[in-house]
Amino acid sequence: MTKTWAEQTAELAEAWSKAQSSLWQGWMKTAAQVGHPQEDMAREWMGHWQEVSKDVTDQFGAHADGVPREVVERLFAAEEIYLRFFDSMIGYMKVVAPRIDAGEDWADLVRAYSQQLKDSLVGGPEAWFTAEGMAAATEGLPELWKLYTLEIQKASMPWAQSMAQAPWDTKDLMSGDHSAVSRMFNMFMDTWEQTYGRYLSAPAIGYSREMNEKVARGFEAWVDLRRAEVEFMSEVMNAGGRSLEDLVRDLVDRGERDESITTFKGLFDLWVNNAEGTFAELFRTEGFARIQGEAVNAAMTYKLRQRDVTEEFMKALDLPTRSEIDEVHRHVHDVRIELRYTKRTLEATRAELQQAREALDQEAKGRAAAQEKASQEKAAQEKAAQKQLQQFEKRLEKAEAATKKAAAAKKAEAAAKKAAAAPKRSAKPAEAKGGSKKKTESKAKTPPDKDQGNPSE
Amino acid sequence: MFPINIRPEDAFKELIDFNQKLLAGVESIADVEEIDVAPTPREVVYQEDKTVLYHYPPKVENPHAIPILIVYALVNRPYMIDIQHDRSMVQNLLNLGLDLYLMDWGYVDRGDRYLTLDDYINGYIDNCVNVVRERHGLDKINLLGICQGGTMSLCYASLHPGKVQNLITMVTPVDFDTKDGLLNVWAQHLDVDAMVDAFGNVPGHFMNGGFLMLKPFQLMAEKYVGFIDTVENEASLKSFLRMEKWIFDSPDQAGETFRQFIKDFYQQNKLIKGEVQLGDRRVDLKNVTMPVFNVYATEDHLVPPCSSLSLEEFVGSEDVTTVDFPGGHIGIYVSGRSQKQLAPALAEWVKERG
Repeated sequence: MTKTWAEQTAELAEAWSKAQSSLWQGWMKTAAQVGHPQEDMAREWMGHWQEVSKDVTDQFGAHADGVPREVVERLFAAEEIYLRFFDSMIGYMKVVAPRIDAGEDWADLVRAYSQQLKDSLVGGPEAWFTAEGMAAATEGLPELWKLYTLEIQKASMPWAQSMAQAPWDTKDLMSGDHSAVSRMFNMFMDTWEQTYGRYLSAPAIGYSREMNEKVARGFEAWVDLRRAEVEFMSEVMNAGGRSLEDLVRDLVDRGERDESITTFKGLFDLWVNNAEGTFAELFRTEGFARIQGEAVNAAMTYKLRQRDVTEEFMKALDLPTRSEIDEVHRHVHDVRIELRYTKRTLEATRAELQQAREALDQEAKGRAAAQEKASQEKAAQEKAAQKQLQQFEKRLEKAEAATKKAAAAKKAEAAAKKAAAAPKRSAKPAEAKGGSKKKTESKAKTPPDKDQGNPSE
Repeated sequence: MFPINIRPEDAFKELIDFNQKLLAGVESIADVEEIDVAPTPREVVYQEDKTVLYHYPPKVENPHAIPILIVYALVNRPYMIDIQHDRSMVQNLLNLGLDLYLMDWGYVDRGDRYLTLDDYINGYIDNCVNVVRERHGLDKINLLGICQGGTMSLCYASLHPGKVQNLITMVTPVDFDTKDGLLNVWAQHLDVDAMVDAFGNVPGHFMNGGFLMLKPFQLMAEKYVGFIDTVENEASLKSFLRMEKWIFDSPDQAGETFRQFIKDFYQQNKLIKGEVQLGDRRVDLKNVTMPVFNVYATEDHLVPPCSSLSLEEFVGSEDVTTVDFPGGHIGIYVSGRSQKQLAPALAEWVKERG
């Protein structure tokens, strides 16, 4: 059955570790017998080990992705740092140990060795100012820059002045001042700008002037970026040197307190803490913040100038450019803002409308209630009036009836009086006239007294 | 006495042990299929553009009546507060009977380049607050802002005090004029206009580079060397991988928001001066009159304590509780100690104030 790469790697690693252990023990014994330098074998062994580590990382990267792969890469990167530090310490031990055994003061030896390390960080500074050095330094630059660099070597007054100053800065550099690197570079660039750089920054002419200007501005931005980067790196290098000094100082203090470091991890941690502290001090300074800011700003400016040139080519190829797409995004954003405010205004208006509706409803309900109440009151009033009228009519009827009765009584009394007052007539009864007629009293039908009304009406 | 007493044989044995552990760790990492984060169950209740509003179903039968809306920073992802089961401020608060909502800003793309702070604060945050208010039938809710999210929450509370019952700010920068924080020092020399014009949205990996520069040796070398000793432990391995995922899972920053935040807050310190303009309104911290619970970390190298402490001086509230917590900017959420102390203190304070 095919084994997974992890299984294969695990077996390989285990075999490798066991082999190295036994190999190392064997070599140690042999080396002790024949006087072979142990440190050289250690370096050779570490070289083999680093090759294995690289192979493991490459194979792992082929089968994994995402965070695990990145973590493994960082682990091996950290191991690289670890091994390099180990290697440098071996180099140190190789130089210092025999001399300590010979009786020299170990603290002075450590300081001297750290100075060598500092010097090795920068390399040969004199190489910057020979023809070969300048050519090497400008190896990766565009052809235009190379041409001007060769031209610079011909004598001209600004250049002669700068070369006269160079040895003093070189002396500073040799004494450990890495900022001399940036001073020398800046002097170089200032002299360039006073001579050939002037022509490059002059306005362009002709049909293609716009494009030429953009290319020229791009080149200027690149030059500024290089200057800012060199200044930044020299600050970092200086800090690196100071961190070594701090480490040595710490070791000296420990030696005076009779404290010793017995593990490589302990030495590594000490180096990290010292370096972290030294760089933290540098990072807090206004000077570093300015230098770092300038490097970042120069990179951003270069990116913008680069885009200006790139977009010219994209336009020629009828491809949409970053600027055009950004403009579209800006319009979309503006529309979204308008929409948001419109929605809010609409919601606020709806809310106001709702409030107004509710107020109107309330008012209408109130009015209706009031009307209802008024009509009820009116009805009650009418009813009361009706009742009163009826009562009045009844009283009137009664009064009429009484009046009529009184009138009839009066009339009867009057008739009686009249009858009583009339003379007595013959005895012939009424039947002589032709029959017996009964005397009937007939009530005279008096016409209705208008004043009394007709009860039958 | 010569301070280095390492025998070559011991040194090489140490190196061999180191590399053996490294390879064992590589094998363990190879077995990890997926890095799980944000384990607490949640549901989407509202979405607008890339912003998602999550609700965490309460873990008690009768949670606290007024819910908390958590506003995280735009930098980094919010699952830091719910990184794993035993290191989750979200779970701790739910267990203590609180009702939680979380705003997830998502990952901006080029189409979001012109989003401003006004869009985030008076747009997305306000809309989410209204959603929570409507869901619970409340006029006011509790607001919890973390780091830059706390700064945005402060701005929101000052512009909409009628919608905020209590305000909680955690490791929140308020006064940006300090030399105690490297970000504050470095930001003064940035040409933000050039950066935003060049990048559009400021890339997350660019931000990561800046954060790594704060402690380069610890964060790029020592951390991984130290990790080797614990890599064989599966639980430690997964914890480490979750943190690694969160550290480098940085969204891009919307260009115009980044521009205004750096210029107005970091470079000109306008917040405490009352000069921050969001849309047509000005932010005045004196309008923050509701109770405030302000937490800061004593060893915070990203937001120096003095930057958070000054909040008390500038808000209008008469009920400000300031709590210090030992640890760093992130440790305040993921350390074992914080699991036992931070959430209970917060929950108690909130419940006392409705």
